[in-house]
Amino acid sequence: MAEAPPQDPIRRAARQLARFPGIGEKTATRLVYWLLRAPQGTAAEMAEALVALKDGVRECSVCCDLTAVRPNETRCAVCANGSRDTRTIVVVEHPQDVGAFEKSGEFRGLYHVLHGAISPLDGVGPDTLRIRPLLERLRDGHVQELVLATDPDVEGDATALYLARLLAGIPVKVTRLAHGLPVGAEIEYADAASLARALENRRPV
Amino acid sequence: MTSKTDAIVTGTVDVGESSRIVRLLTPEGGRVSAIANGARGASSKLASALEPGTRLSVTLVRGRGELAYLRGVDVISAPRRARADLDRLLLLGYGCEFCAALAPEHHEAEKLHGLLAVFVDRLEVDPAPGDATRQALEAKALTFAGLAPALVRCARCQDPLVDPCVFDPDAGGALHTRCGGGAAFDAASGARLDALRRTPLASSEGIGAASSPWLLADFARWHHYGAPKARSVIESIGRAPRAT
Ligand SMILES: [Zn+2]
Ligand SMILES: [Zn+2]
Repeated sequence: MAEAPPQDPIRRAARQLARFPGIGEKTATRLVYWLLRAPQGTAAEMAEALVALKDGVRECSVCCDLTAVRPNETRCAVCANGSRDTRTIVVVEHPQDVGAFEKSGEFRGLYHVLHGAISPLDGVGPDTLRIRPLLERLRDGHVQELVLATDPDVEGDATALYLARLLAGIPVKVTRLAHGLPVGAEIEYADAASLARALENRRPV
Repeated sequence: MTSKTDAIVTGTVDVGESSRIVRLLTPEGGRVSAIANGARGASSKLASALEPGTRLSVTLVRGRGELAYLRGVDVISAPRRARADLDRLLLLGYGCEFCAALAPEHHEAEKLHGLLAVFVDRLEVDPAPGDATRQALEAKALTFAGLAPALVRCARCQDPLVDPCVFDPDAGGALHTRCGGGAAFDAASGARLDALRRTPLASSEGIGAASSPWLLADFARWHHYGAPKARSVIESIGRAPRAT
């Protein structure tokens, strides 16, 4: 039987905050008490920003990265930037990974965001990933190299191996980030220097 | 309470900002979940040790709660070839999910642990493992879990299986058609699966796969075990067209 919704506003707010990944009941309750002490309007500002989030962000029509909705523009800032090298695409799992590469400042090409990774143990297959739009981008033969920058863990390996197999019939160079990133780590957390080094030393798949 | 044990990582779940719950298959304690604090930072050495299929020697600290805490971790062996070959990698995930599902929680599972260890090692060598190796794993794991299906004798009348016959998980395995109904099956497949069950994993590919590829997986599933997640990924990748 479903539990009745809690009527107490403190508990209700805590329940909502506890829905965030990594936030437990305890932390959520602490945040609620912080909000209750915060200046008038704080909660409203936060709520407004959160409500605007979903409508204000879309997927780039080219690389699938998340980007702010702008009038008369369906692309993200990177894809719309005419000075990027359009012959090289770095393929990443998550939008956060794009930020990590941009911070490293070493890469002048374009990105493609898969929005996930193949995970046998979680039952996540290739169908849920943005692979079709990637193939679409390779169709005209302009792109010369795909750098697979999936995480160096089992899911990242499975995704890279699957893409390499999928792209075997296409005349595009497929490489993967070099070791140097700790195995099992996440690109998102990698520091700029090791990311630049891994990119520099990428190797064919 | 602190204990040291061999273990194979069968999966992980991220928790909090930087920690990971690790699912382990251990000989003495069966299925164990342990929390590894700080396992996700970019500089964490733990991260690589906690990938599925890695064989470990671990120190577990048990408090009052359900979860144990992972303290010392020594890597005995880690998958290498399986990380560089998609088919091997998918089998690795499948084997981990299948054996973990059949293992009891906090109860001895020495044979299942040993089986998964041999399977993981098998994925590192030639010949390339395929359906036969997977079916052998399923047959052995089911047997070790006390769920061996009838394959060479009729599950109803116990007489040797001869065609025409069928397979019915509800009845306990293969049956003469005169003894019951079920999915299409033949005595030769039963004999082959039985041979896979009795022969070392290294010889599975020499024996060859039985014609109904997911029969034992379905049998396990009927008993509420099995590896439905890894299987769905194997099947979806098998179906995926190649780009041209
Ligand atoms: Zn874009
Ligand atoms: Zn019979």
